[in-house]
Amino acid sequence: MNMLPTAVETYLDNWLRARSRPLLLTFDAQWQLVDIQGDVAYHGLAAEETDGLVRQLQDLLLGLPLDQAQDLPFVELGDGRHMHVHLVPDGEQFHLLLLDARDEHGRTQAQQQLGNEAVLAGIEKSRTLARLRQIKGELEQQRAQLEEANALKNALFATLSHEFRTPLTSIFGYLHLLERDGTAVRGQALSALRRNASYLFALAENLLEYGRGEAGESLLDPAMLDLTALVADLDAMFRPLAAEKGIALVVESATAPPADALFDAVKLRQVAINLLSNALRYTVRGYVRAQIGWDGNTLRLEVSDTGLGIDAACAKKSSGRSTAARSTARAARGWDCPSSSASSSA
Amino acid sequence: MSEIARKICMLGDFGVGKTSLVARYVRNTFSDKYLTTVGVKVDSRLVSLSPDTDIKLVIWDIAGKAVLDNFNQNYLRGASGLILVADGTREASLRAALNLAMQARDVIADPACVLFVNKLDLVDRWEVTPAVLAEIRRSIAVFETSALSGDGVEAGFAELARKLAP
Repeated sequence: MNMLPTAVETYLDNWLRARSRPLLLTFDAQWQLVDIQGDVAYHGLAAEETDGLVRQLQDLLLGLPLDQAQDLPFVELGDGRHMHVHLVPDGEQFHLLLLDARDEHGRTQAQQQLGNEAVLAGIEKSRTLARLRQIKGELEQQRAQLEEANALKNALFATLSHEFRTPLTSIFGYLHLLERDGTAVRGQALSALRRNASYLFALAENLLEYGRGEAGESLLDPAMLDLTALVADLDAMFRPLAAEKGIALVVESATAPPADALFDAVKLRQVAINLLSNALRYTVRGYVRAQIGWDGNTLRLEVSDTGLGIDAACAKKSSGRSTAARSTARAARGWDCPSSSASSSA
Repeated sequence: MSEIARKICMLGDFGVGKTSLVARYVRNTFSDKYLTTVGVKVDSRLVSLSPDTDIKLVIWDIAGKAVLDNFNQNYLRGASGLILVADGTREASLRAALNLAMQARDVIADPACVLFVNKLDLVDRWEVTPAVLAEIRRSIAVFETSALSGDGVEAGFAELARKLAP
């Protein structure tokens, strides 16, 4: 580069010196301070107070060859000042030129801080969005569970409707007999009314027990089974309906269970009523026959009828809970699957 | 009593806690305010290796970058050891630290290395998994650290000082 006019050279020299406040420290090869020049006062240094700065500079140049020029920008010194440090070899000596970088450091730091904080905020935003997506997924899952619970509740109501209808039908049947025949059948009719009323009461108890089951408590109430009484109750309950439809009804007991076999009487009765109720509902003519007995390790209830029967597809679908309710819905839609609920409930 | 000095450099992405780790180790202080480092800050601490040997660790806290630029390569010259720093809550910062270690080997030959996975106090938000750390431990000493609580900091620096012993 050609030499600039002297006036410009002087101006430039003054301008650079004013901006960078150069401090020049000259050392021999053993790090003995030979000379110090520049704005010592600006840097807060007295000639006798240079030991701390020299130690810092020795640390700064640790491991670096002193006979090669080095440029270390933005070095923060112990007192918090920021300098550009230049190593300038000079024969047996070397110079360390320190240029004030305070203003430049401040501007660069402010700019870098903004950039870094923006990136960190972006990362945090991504995390928050991921968390929101996760929460949304959990809410959708909970919604699906609530919808399933609601469907189960609806199924329960349908089942209850079905369960209450059978004993009520029987009650109406006996009331009809009482009205028609007077005292002749009064005792039998009242007994049947009491049984059916008891059953309705038991159903209500069962509903409460269902609620307890939702809370994690036991659903079963095991007790000894009076098979003869159960068969008699079922026969008395369904005989009026069978007679009204002109269908032959046979309800009989086989081998009684051993004394140590325990059953939940309400649920057992509920299952038997389901089976017989459906068999009677979907049998137009002919017979319905039920047999209950102990086969060695289980209580078996077999229902046969001359109704529509059950095809393979329906039989496959008939497993699972709340089948009676689904069966009711199917019947309402005109789907002929008469015995599915009965077999699945059993 | 003999005293030797070794230059070590803190390397890692920005915001992983390099400056805070040095402040904890050298001055036993902590500030939760994030202030980005521009350039380099040099601190030192004397570590006793044996009753008659001390080592002075000259610690270069270098501005955080995911890759080494020319400035940072200049800062690395003359270093004997590296402390790679990652933020456990930012999995990408671990990859950056390992990548920086690879690049640093072009500037300094065979440096002693340890890895600090920082922000142990936020461990419930960590993205870095124990399985990943177990894999890395097969090739480098890993310290789970917290500049806030000080956990793992002394042990990590001590391990590097031991590696740098003559």
